Amino acid sequence: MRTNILKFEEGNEFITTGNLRIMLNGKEAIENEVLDLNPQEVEELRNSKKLTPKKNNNKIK
Amino acid sequence: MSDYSHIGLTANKMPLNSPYVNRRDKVQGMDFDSQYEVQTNKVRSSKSNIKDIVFLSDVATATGSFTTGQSVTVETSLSPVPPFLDATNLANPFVAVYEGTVAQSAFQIFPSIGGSIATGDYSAYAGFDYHEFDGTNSVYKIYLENVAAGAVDLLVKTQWKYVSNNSGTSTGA
Repeated sequence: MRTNILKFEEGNEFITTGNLRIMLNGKEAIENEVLDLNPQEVEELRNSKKLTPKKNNNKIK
Repeated sequence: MSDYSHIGLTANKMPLNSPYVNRRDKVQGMDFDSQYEVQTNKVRSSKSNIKDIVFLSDVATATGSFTTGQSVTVETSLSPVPPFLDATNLANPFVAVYEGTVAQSAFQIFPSIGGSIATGDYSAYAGFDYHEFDGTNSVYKIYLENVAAGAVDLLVKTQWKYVSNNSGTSTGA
């Protein structure tokens, strides 16, 4: 499937599949790498870019 | 049975090219839809049963991260594909945004807020934007601001459900 790796000026990266347009702080990505990957490869790519999970334990809803 | 084909007649002495000889087999009503492909630019009917006009697009996804003070705009669209590029469609988008990389209800940010998401961490606006509406496009936008969540991963999933009289005419999600 068509996969886009979007790189933004601020250093953030987004990986998209399908017809999604992403903007960060109202601006388009400065780099767009287009790949043709199968779903497993997309998942592997995403796992390689995960952040440390956020802790919500002290949050009160 | 006699053979008169050498003088251009059938065994019944009918011309070989007569409409009677070359008539088509009778088609039963129930066979009609499987034997004929009918094309017309106008149909008048007192009642029609039309099926298979509602379709689902592929699921589109996005993953990434943002931090406090940053905003992410997500735009999902449904577009006709050749040869129906000027075909309009009637469509509903289904969207979900999650904190993290897994689609868990407790971590949903939009349109529901999950139990593990603190009120005030995010600000979200979404809708069909009339400002850029051209009469045919189907575009849905989500504006998401990270107010106080810190550095977090985001997962976005979208899918369109749409009505079309041309199967497979749209792509997107």
